[in-house]
Amino acid sequence: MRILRTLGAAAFVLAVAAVLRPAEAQAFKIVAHEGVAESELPKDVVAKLFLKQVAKFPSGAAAKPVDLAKTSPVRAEFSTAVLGRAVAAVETYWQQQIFAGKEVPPAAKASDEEVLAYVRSTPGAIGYVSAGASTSGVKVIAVR
Amino acid sequence: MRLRPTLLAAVLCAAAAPAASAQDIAERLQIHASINMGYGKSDNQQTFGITKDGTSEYRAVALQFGYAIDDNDRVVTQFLHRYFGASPLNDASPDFYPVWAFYEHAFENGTKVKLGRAPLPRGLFNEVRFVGTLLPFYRVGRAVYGETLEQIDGVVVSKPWDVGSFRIETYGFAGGFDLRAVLADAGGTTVYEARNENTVGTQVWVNTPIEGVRFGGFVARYNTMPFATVAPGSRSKATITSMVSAEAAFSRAFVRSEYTSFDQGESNNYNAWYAQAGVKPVSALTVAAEYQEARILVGLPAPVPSVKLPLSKELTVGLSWSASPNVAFKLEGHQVRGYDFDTAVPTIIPPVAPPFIATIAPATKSHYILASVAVAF
Repeated sequence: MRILRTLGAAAFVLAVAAVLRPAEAQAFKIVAHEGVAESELPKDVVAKLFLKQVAKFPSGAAAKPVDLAKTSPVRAEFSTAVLGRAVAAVETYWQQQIFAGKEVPPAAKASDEEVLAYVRSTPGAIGYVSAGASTSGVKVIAVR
Repeated sequence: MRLRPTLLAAVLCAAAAPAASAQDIAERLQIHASINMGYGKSDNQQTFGITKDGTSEYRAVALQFGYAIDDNDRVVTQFLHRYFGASPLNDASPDFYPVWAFYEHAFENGTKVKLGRAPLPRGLFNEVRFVGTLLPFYRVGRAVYGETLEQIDGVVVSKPWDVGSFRIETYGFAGGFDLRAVLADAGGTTVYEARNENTVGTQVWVNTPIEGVRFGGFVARYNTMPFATVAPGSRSKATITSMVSAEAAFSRAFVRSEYTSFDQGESNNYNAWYAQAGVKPVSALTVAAEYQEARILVGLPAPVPSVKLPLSKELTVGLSWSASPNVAFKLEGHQVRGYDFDTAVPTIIPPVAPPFIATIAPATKSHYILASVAVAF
């Protein structure tokens, strides 16, 4: 009985610690062209933009999502955190879209710099880069 | 009939190539391919081209080109080569031919319109029926999908809607399509080919708030040609075909089922269904099983009443290993019971005396295995 009480107390402490622990720093940030009206977006809207399930920002402007390369660890983080599925599952999703004649995936860039260059120069562009990347000339979008 | 889509594909490709720089073209042009090839061997009846001797001439190769003319307009062509072992269907299709050649315009409100020869939205797998990396087995269940309604020459309109937490996808289409079927009887094996026109129909998908769970319904009406040139009293009835689909697909397991029917009144009635389930004990390995069944109404000379023939019952189990989403290795075993083989088997025993009720011959049983590799990029 004492063991059970001890285990219960330990579980409670761990649960409280998990709740009170500061959120882990996000490994990526969402960036958009400076002309994009939104400063923050719900996570499901960002997911729909990157999966091309919607073509416009809530403000009505056309969106042009851009991905990092499939092998990028930042993409893996973004994919799990925002799209809710692993990169491989997203690739399967795109195969279904492509071979059903429906949609093609967003352009994929090899590095943060290439994503940032695309976002800076393309009205409506939205992408993501590693958390430490310089974001001058683009707008950082908060994800709710 | 074969020349039309080829010409259409060429015209669309030419139209999509305005003067542009090489870099511009590289960004606008999308090239994708799917290769699905295998070895099959039957222990008794030849089934869908798979012989008792074994055949390695079993493949489906698709090459797809898409070109974005601008943000809202694109053209897409897909060329297909497929070979089904010793199936008579091989002689009914050219070696390599355009199965899609369409122009698509996306409107500001999310509506998309495809014009030309476009994939037909029908059920879970119609557009990807040979893309092996997306399927648990070599191909989709033939009882439900058959060799018809793969694409439509005409127009396909689509529009997604968000209704609360549900996402509704609606499609409407009109045009014509080809139907092929292998007919085996005492006189030998032939491929029945029919052109169907005046097709109108719809497919609706309801994607639930639970990621991976969706339901769909499809219905279409069409006339088999010739129609207008036939005397009104002798014209065949319009066919109504429908399909209902349900799917729950998660990262480690899936279950899905579909039912279809083709109804041309008393003279022609076919229905089929399948159920499929699988698990992924590890992310690369899928273990799946499927059961499919088809029934057809067989009309007999008066006064003998029609017979509902249990055409086929097929059980499939398979393993699929995918080290990446682009490659899958598969091994599957099938057990087929019924009357739907490439060569004739006893089906209906005609009555010779009153009360003139036909009887059905005992079902034939056959097994086959299929080992295959699928690649898509």
